[in-house]
Amino acid sequence: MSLGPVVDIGIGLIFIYLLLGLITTALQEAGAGLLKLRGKQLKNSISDLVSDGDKLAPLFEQVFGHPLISGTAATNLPSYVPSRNFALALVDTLSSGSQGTVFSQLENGVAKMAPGCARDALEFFVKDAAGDLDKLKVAIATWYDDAMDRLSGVYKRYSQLFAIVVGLALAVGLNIDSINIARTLWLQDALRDKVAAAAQAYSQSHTTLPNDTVGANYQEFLDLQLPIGWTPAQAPGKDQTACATAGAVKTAGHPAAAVMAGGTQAQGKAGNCVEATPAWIDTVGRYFADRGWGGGLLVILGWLITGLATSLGAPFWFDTLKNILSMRSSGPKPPRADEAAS
Amino acid sequence: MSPPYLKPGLTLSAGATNDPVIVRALQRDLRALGYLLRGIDGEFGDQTVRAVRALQADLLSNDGLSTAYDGRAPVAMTSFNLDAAVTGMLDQPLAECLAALLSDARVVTLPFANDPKAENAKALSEIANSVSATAPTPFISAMVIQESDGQHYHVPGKGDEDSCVTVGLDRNKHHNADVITSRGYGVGQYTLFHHPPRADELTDFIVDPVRNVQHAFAELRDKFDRFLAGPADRADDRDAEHPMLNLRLCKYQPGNALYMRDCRACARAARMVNIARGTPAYQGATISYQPDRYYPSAIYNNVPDRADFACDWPYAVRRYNGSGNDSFHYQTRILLNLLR
Repeated sequence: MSLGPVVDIGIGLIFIYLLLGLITTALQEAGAGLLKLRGKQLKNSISDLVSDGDKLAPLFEQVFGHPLISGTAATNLPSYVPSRNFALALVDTLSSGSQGTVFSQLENGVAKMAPGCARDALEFFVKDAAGDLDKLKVAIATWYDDAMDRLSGVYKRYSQLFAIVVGLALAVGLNIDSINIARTLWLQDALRDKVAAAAQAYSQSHTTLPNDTVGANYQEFLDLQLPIGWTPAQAPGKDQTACATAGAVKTAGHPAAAVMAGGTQAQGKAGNCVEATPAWIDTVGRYFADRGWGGGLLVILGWLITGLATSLGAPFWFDTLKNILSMRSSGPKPPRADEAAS
Repeated sequence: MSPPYLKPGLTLSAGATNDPVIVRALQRDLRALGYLLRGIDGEFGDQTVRAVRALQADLLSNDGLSTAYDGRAPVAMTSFNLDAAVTGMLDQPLAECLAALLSDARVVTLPFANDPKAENAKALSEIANSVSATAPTPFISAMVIQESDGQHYHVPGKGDEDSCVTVGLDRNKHHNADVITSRGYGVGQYTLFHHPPRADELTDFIVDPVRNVQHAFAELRDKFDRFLAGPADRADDRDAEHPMLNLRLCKYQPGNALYMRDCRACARAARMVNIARGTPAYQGATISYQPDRYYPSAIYNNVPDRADFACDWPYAVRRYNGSGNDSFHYQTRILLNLLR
């Protein structure tokens, strides 16, 4: 059942953004994993708390090297430490050499710290706890949680930027032009129905956001056989004209076309239409040349739309897809007879 | 009426054969005048000798001034004219001085109780039931046990007639071991540095045990406010153990029924430590627990750790007693008494 081609186009585009979003997230995680980003950020955060950013301070080294902190990661750079562990590790480090109550030793430990924000904060917590060790541990854990929230905020901004960059890169690299796709879906009913059906199938088979690999999502994406990519087949019927008008530059002044013209002229003999495999810049140039100024701008706009839409994130598109599909159909599919019986 | 020992030619001394009745009379008067530590038993023993010597020394040198800030005595002992030396023996000139002292209205004498045991019990229960916002009552009760074993009036043993207000006598004068430099009175051992006491002091805290202890509350609170981290002085043990904390009155808030009353529970919940001869007074201290004449043993087991209290009264209690080795013993004893 269809609520009209427009909705189906919307569904198609949303599905595309969803898959791209998943690919982006996976790439981002891989990149962050490679750079050990989370681990490094956590280390920075802890050193900000404990030693005002000085990673060489002995207190920081002891706290970070404490089994409750570093021991949670195989590579000594944990990407997550629960606040309770941090509080215990800090208390243990500050009160070590203990010969007296833990709280009393801890006070002396804090008193010996180098002056700075860390010492001031801890001094405040100590005074506020006034001898109650549990109260102090809770205060330290809350302090740590606040720092982790700030870190998440930084991380989130960072990853949003990354998502936009990756989204745009995918859009440009694979030539995923939203405007072109929308137009194609509008014109080709069969493709539109196929994409909508694929979207529905995907939504029904995944109740929550899946954790598939990049490859799986990419394959799914390609299976849709959308009008993407840089192969010359995208500009049907234009090859011969391009060859014939190599000399008469239709898009005079267009830099890419000029290069292309210059390129082919430099490559082949004048008037010879036997084309060697075009360099990628030739492909891009021809693509733009075929579309002219207005078309070229629309392509770029389409890329921007794709890139920005992708950066909104897979969860957003997943929920949106679910909502639209539930609007589109008459409710969830009733269970089959054999399913209901089980 | 003249005292029985004012008899021409009569002398009383240690080692001689003395009439116990007369010795008793002397002891009673020495006790009432605040020179005899305890014991009205008719025997001219060591305590009696020391008492006589103290009286003689005072007659020679006590001009009524105080070595602390508690004001003057109403009269100077030196005005009672004794030229003779400190002998430890009663002779008639000394007997005449005593007679003069006893008949002088300005000279305050300490009261005796008819039923010291009952009076003491009444005093202790009044103290224990008093609710104070000044200082925690359980600490005061613990201190009372240490100061006087809970006796405002001395409870006499067999053959003893001493039911006078308990006194503690300090002899801290260098080069003169006879002179009594300060006296603590009653259940709280409220201390005066001048002698004899004034009449208002008698009615204030010598006669009334509850008022006697009220002074202890006020004094303990003063130590808390000014001698721990305060303007007058600092407590070394607190500085070593809680260098950062502000002064803490109680783990409960005022208005809570347990505020400054549940000290026994806190003492029992605290970490226990063992103290022995040579244990440092606090971490990093140069002094350590050592036995001395007031505290013959420095071994204390299962003492609540003062650093593990959620309040600073253990430190104030020590300052109540002053400073030095003795004050640490005192503190430990109080903390042990809290457990009872």
